[in-house]
Amino acid sequence: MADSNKLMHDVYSEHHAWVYGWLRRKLGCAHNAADVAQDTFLRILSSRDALLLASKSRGYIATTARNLLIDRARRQRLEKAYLEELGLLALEHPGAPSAERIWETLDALEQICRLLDGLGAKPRQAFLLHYLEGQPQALVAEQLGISVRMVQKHLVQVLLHCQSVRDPQ
Amino acid sequence: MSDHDDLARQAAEWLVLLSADDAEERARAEHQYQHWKQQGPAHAAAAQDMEQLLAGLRDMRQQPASEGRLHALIDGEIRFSQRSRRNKRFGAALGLGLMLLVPGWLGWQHYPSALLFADLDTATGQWREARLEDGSRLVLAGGSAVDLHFTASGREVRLLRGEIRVEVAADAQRPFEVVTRDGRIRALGTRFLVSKQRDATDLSMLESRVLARSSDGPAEALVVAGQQLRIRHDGLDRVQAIDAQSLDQAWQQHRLLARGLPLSQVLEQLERQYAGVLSYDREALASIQVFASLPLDDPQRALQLLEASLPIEVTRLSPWLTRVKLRAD
Repeated sequence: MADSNKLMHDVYSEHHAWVYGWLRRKLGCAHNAADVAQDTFLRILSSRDALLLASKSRGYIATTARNLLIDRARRQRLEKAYLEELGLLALEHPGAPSAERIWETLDALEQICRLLDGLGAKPRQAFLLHYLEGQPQALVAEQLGISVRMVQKHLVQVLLHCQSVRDPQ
Repeated sequence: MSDHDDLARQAAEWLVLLSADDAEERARAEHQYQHWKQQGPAHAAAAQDMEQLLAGLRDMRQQPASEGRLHALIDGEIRFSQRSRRNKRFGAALGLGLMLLVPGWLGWQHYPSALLFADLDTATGQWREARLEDGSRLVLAGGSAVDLHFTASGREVRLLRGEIRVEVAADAQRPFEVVTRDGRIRALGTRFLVSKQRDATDLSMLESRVLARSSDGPAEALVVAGQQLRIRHDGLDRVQAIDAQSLDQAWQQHRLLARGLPLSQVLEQLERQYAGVLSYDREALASIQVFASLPLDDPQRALQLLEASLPIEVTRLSPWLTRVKLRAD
């Protein structure tokens, strides 16, 4: 335990400055850079394996920070697009959903994007049409121009893919 | 590890059967699935995460958003991040691509029969030409897909979506047919375009003639060069005259030649070439007629041209969502 604390301290004091400097150049904003640097070390310090990797390699730390930046950019794009959608919707149906509900939806959207990224277009479409939009499998097949059997194969593939992303073995 | 993978696969297969369309099949799957889960704690555990994921997605349907929008949003975001990754890799991939191109082409020449077993399709904005086993030529416009069924007694091309240009090689023994959900087109030695629309199929004859038939009715017509026919599942529209030569030329240059087409239909065709969502009110825009020659391989430019000449407003809301509506004034 004492070892682990010392390791944390070493990693943080050795690497925080350059990570912060790198993020600051990349983001052009001291405030955001401090946030992302903070998140980077939170992520690294939260697992012993990550900590060991970080103590041996700057590359690992840089990758962690870069992934956080990508997540953050994705979150911002999703927020913008969803808020636009709500804006369009509000023109037709006045009455806005609560901020809490909006954040929940955004979290879910973000998670789905992360899970489905890396899949082919057809399996992803099949999955979203069937499970998100609730369309019957035959209709999904028709829209994608493939057989129902193929739709089912795609769905199985996506479920397994999601499982492996969530629970890497 | 492999036990774990096997269980996960079985769980996924059960879950997919649980939402099959047929009620009886669903009930049977439900019964067997419960039985399967009781085989051990590892079985139930394998299914739990996936069940949760699906429950989460079902909940999303309750969230405020118009129909299909969340789907479009997720899809747009994923395409966006895949595209930006691809662009970064493009430099490195280009060299490799050039090296692969030559052997790939040779392979194509040597093994055209592989086509018989593979369906052909194209991504948005991507044109593709294929020579079929019988010597016929098929060109697929962007966003199109076909199935090929060639047997000893017949040649059938099933157009699943999009638009194709067909040049049929003569073979008296095996009739050549293009089939869509709306009807069948039997070639009598010939060159023509077939375009799958939302609820109909458009046939444009460039050379020679074909016999067209609707899928659910006795309607049948002989269509000759310079004629266009809309085929619906329950009947045929009146034959219209077209300028076959300009149409063919436009098609080969990846242009859409609109001579009085409803704007909604033009947007529908552009959307097939557009890596994102075009949002528009079909009915509101159907009354606007378009006379133009539009670059299908540059949908962004095509939209600019439309905006410049029609009383519409094109707003790019995000990299993957563009809205087209009537101008307010």
